Amino acid sequence: MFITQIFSYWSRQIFAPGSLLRKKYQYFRDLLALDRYCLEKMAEIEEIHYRSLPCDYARVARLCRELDQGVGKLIKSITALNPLRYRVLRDYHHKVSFYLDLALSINNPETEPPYVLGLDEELREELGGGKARNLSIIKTKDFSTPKGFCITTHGFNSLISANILRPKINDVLSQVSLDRIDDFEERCAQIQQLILEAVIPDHVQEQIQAGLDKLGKSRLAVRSSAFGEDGDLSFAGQYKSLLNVDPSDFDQAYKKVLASKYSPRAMTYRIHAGLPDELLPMAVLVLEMVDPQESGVVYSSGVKNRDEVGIYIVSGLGDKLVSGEVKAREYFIKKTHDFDFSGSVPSYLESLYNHALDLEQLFGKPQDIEWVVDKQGKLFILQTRSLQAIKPDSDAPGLDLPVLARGEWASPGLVSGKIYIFESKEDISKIPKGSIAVAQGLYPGLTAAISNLGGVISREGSAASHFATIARESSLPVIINVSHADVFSDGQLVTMDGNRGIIHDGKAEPRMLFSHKKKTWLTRKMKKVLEHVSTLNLKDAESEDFTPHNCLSMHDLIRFTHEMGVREMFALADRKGRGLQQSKVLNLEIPLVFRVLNLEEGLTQEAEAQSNVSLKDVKCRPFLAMFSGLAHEKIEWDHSIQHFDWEEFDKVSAGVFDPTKSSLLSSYGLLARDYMHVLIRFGYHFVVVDSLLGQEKEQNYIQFSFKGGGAEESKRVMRLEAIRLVFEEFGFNTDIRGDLLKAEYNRENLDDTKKRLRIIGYVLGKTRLKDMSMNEQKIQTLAGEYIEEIKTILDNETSPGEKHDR
Amino acid sequence: MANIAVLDDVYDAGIMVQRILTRKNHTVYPFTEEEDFLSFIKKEKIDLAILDIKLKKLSGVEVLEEAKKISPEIKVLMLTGYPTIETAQRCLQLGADEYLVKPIDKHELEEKVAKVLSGEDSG
Repeated sequence: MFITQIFSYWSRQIFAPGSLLRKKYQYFRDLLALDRYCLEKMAEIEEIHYRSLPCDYARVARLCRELDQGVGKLIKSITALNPLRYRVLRDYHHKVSFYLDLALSINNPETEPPYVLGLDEELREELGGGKARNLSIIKTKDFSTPKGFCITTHGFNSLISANILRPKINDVLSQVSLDRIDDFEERCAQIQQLILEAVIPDHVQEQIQAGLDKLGKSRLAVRSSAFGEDGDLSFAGQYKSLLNVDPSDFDQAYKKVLASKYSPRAMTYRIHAGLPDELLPMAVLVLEMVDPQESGVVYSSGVKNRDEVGIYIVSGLGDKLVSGEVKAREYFIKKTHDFDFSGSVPSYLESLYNHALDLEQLFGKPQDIEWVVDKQGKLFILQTRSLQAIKPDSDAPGLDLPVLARGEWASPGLVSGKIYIFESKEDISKIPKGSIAVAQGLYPGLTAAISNLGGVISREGSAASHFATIARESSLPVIINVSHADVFSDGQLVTMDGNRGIIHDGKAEPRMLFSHKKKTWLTRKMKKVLEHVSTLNLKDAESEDFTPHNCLSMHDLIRFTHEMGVREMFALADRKGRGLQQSKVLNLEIPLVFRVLNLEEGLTQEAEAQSNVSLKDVKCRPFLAMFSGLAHEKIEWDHSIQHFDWEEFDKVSAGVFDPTKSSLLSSYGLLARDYMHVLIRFGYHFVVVDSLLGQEKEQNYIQFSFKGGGAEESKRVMRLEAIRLVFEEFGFNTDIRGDLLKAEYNRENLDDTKKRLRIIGYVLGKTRLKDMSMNEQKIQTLAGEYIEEIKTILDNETSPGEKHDR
Repeated sequence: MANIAVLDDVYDAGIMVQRILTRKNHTVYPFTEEEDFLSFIKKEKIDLAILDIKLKKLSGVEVLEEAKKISPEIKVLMLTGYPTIETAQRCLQLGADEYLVKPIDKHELEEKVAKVLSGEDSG
């Protein structure tokens, strides 16, 4: 939109219609716009990796596709500028594009039969999911389990494929942001709706029907059995289980369970675990309902005390226990002591105890077992899985926030939220979403509010309690035995570090809440992807290796194209009789090598005859405005480097310098009366300022980008942060992605826009070497200083630069 | 250094690969015919096969499958001008170690050959 405006603007003012120059200038403007677009896309991709942003893999894939298309267009625009020289770039783009695609690809999900397997058949986890697999194992070992079957992951894949849902799902996933909760929930609901409305393909349906027929008319339990549920990750309790399902309602129940893969909680967990949707297809376990007398869970080894079996019992269905609606009867039985099972305990307690020990031995790990006893007193095992290892995440980052209180961790994790002082049971329903509840103890009743809670702090309690166990399964941080809990007040914003048992004052940035060191599928995948996206192989534009065939990444292609585009523009100036004046050396009082190319009325008429010009020859309004800031007397320059630069100037004026072959022109400006495109290099820093500054407010804009080099990532980001703070203060829209700072100031009047250009110049001059020794505190101080200085300057004086401008 | 067999329907392409890799002290045998290539690897011990996807009679994928039957431990680098992801995934499933897309870049070829021969995990 803007670009088109500028074209019509320039085409009216500068060039005769249809002229070659006008076209070339247009291609160049295209190229600049695309260059900017591609760098932003690339930075967005890098940001996901370097800041460990919690986003779905589908987003990475979409951004890479967009980058690839952008680079394709970028190459088209340089090919338009010079068809012969750059046509070969297309081949290298195809090549990089293929490597990137290959790095991004996930093997196609399998959709072949079997879609249904009996529990007495061999069930690999890839087919049946963890729950069904474990159940089939214990069935072969003669534990009694309900009758049933499993609908395999291939059944799920087949449903997705037959309804062509994958592109639709990934489209929604690619827009998911865990930072925007409302939006996130809506997107989850969209995907769930897609699943609920899907049709079960006939070939899957037939096998399901055959399975159902074997179970007869009894009511069913339909439970998730996701792949990967039983590994290091526990998706325990994330997915849906439906009980008492009438066989005639089976289809809908099946789809409801499948859809629970996309519940906000399950999605949040999956995305934090860094796994793509495609790799976790869902199998579903279908079991005959047992008419329960009592049910519950058993932990074959206690949470803190390994020598203890924990048995929890409720009347009727066990789901009430897991959802926390009722308080269980609890038995903790020491493995090392003889327990008297003859006392007033349930008759099945002993066999439950023995089952727990047997299952722990069978799987070689402590087990979390769901069981039920029917009306006849027969015991069934519904599910067994490894008890989630509970240890705090010692790799998690420590937080740089003031410490309010300390206690012991009972459930790890990091969370920020507002305090809610919990006084009585009646308060449960009043807990605002995301609150951190402060309670006397870990009341079982709190489980009912678990989906509303952000975290729990308690004065007393035990990590072995039922609530703590459920909290760990729900990834809800809990800190117990906090002695100074009276420091909290309602509504206070705090951050809990459940790994270390510390409560901090204030809110942590989202990115601080995730471990940077954690290696996930996504971080490994991203490393391979970034190799073809952002790795820069073309480091030196002067080197002989700066060629298309050394472009091995998208970044190389972008870099090469931009550099060549600029050289092409400068090359235009060398040809005679084409209407553009030659590029000229701008003599400056500050030690900066600068070449300028006059597009139209950017320089005085007298300057046309000269190869060296000075600032008084410059008429380009945006350039003068920026320069008045850059050359401000308050900025100190080290003139010792000037000598070297003058030598360069000499070479240039002696004609040794071929602008098409060299990028010795460290900094350059394409200047018109109201427009400039300026690239400034300070050592490794790479600054581009593109601006239109005229009387028409709607056309004015400043686009600024700063890409730093040299210092290590975190320090670069800090320097950018200081600049960003200053720009924000003066009304720029800013954005930092990776190590690219982008700032914009659009559609404001001439005076305001001019001031912003001066500020850019001033900040660039001030910060050009400020990089290596920054910390977070210094950023604030430094930014504060600059803001004060700038305000003083703007209030008190008119700069020399402005005098040129009427 | 390694014994390398190259199969490309274009004679010059094989020769180019030979020239690049011979400089790295490898012994390189170029082929243009599928049968010649297959009977050669039956007789000789070859460390690495470089296979073009587009051949005369068979596809490179089929040759890859055959080659792996003849010599399961043989390393394979696939070479192609107009790649599809499906073919690439299929080749990786069949045990190809790396993928090289034309136009061939000397450094890239050298690097990938070295990487495959050293037994590093493929990209």
